[in-house]
Amino acid sequence: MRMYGEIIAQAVSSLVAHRFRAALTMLGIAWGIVTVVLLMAYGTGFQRAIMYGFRNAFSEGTVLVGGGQTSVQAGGERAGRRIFLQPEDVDAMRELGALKFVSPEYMESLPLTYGIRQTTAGVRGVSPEYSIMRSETAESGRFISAEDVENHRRVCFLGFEVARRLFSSIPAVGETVRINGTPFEVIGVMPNKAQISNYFYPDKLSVFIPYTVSGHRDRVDNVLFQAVTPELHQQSIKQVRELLAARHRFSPRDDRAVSLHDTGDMEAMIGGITQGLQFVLYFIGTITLMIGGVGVMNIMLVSVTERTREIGVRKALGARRRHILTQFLLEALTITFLGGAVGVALSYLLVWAIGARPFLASLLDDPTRQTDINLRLSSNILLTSTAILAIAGVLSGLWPAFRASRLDPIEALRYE
Amino acid sequence: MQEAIKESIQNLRTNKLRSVLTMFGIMWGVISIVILSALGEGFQRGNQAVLEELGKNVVIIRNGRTSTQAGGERAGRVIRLNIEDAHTLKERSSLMQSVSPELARSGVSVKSQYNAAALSLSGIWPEFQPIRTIEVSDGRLINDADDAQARRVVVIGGEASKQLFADRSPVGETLKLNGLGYTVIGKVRKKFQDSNYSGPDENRLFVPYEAMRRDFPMQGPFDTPDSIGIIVAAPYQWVADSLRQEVDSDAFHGVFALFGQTVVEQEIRRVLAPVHGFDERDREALSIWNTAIESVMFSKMIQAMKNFFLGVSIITLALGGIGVMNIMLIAVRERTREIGLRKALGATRKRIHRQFVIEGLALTLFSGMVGFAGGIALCKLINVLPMPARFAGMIVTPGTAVFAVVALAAVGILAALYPAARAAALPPVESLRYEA
Repeated sequence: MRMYGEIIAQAVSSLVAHRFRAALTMLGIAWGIVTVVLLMAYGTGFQRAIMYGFRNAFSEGTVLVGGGQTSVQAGGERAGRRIFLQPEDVDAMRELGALKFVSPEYMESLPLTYGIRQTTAGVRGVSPEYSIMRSETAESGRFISAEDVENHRRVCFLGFEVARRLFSSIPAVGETVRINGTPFEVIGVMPNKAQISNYFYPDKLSVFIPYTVSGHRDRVDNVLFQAVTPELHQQSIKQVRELLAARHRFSPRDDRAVSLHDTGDMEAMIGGITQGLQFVLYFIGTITLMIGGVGVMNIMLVSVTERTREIGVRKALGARRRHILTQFLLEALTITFLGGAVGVALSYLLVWAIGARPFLASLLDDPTRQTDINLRLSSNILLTSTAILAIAGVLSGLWPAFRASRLDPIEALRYE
Repeated sequence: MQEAIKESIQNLRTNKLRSVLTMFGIMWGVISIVILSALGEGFQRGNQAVLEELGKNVVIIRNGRTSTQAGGERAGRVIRLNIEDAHTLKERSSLMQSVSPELARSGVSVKSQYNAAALSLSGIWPEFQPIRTIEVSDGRLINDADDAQARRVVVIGGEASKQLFADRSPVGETLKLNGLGYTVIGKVRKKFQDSNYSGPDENRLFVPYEAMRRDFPMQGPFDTPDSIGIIVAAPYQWVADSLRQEVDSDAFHGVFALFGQTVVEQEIRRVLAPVHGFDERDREALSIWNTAIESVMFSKMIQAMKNFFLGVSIITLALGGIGVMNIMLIAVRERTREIGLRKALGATRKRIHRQFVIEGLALTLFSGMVGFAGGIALCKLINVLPMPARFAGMIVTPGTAVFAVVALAAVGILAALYPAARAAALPPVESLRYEA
């Protein structure tokens, strides 16, 4: 054990003897670490921003069903028949055991007035479950409740921009607005949320009311649902399609008769893109760190050549192969890890200094800047980069150390 | 000079392993420049291509509702577009390059001899097709004569054609639109459109406006035969460019402040306000979707991404430069005696200096070139894989090549300068008796 202490001391003193060279090599490693960490943080930030914006539009597993038209003939009827969803379809879907949440959605573009202020918004008649499936939270007040629906209450939940246009900075909750002339009490206002995907109107420009008080209730524009568990997701889509096919007499294989929009598909697509990007970034970061490793190997090789005679003397005095091997390996590892530590410190500093890189926030008008790329160091990133660093250090130290240990003492002694 | 180069090459060859390792650093730096900028460029073009499937900087104008009173009329009045508005806009607008009405109807019963469908129909001027990137893969587009003579001809979207004709060519076939016979003259090429305002073009049929007006006018209680519902227009390129400048300026306060407030929307309202008697400052009187705003914001976002990548790739290349510097320093040390000898034999400082700079540059440039070729090869390799939407594949531009070469030369010179200066400054006598 005492011997290893001595070897470390020797490794350090030889580094000190070649300060400038060692410093440059360490700089290489530190630089490599910084690149890896920054690239990984960027990739993670990219993914987080997109998923945040997407989650604000739909929570996990939400499926949207809408009307369509038949494209193959069924039951003696020609193709091209239009299918409209009906309130009874929603009731039938509620009976399906595989579904946890079901909400109809009646959509209409209508004028809203408050005093002399007037604006047009997307009015959506929905049930309370809708808030879970579409990630609607209240900044003030509350969303529509089951009692509101049951008692046909004329209440409304305002999108951020609608509230801003009608009320500026006055608190809206408790006030009465007129939707197409009919008075509705404001029960809640949503925060200024950024969403990546939308249909009809963005949520900012939407108003939500109990579906029991929307007009034109003969046709449902959309039905949103979620399965009881993620495992039942595919099963539930199939069940809904079969149910609707039976109720509207179309072939269950006709995929245009009703439009089934599985937001999970879009999520998978987004996931694919971000993973592709992350792969490229990781690849580049890893190889960059490897270059730092190559620098270490290069310097170690030079050091072995320079110290050939020293190695010869050691061997002549009884040093074994593994002592020589350990000595040079330790030297390489010392450089690598010192450089790595400096790199991690630098990364913290840089990530703190850079903070957020502009991405979607200005596009989505997101004051929280959650949809920008926020560089953050996770333990995952640090673990990965340390692992890569360790591999780079061992790999780059091993070959020169091996070469040193294999030197023939007699040849080494008379080397010039 | 030639001799200096020859000597450099010889020196590099005597330390093969070391040279190769050093060169690998530079090589990778250049590869990362090429890959990262190709990645950024691919995102940029992919996005642009998807946005342009809806139309390049297209503006979509639809019926709106006044939010302020004007001319003795109360707020909340619906403003309905008609064909005269399209003519007025075309004549009086100074920003719009082309304008077209779009008279749309959904749920039209369409029958071919093979199958039936319920589809959306749009009656358009021929100008509509370039504005909205309607291109045919088969047959021809709608022309002025079709419109002037109100011919019953139709250009069919890809999905619609698939349902009605399966894999057969639709061109020349007859379709019954609510019972009226129309001849298919063209099929829209496959579109990768991910935004729309009334359904994707894949599921749509396009017919001349005059034929649409005669056969399928709007049917609402307040509509007249001249009602159109939608006007699409495309501004000149310089208008879109000026918007970009506005977004880049300091006065910019988020994208919502921009909606309805750029010069394009302001001019449209100024032209149509007197006709319909609304206040030209009323943002809601007409519903105007200026897609150029999104387009600018998207390209801004991608520019930010490209800048980050550029920064990273410069860092990577500089890292290679550090490797070169380190190795050159060692070379100077190892060759101290040689330098002493040269100086003793009459070599000037300048000559020694030049020798080492050339050696460093040769190392950098040669490995840089190899790296560049490697980067392009890698991009080609990646391009073989299927590409996701909004990504056009890895694209190496001439700008990237120029940047790579300049950065490379700069790194090479910077890395060689210090070791060369050290070599040149060595005292000849001391050097001659130096022992490594």
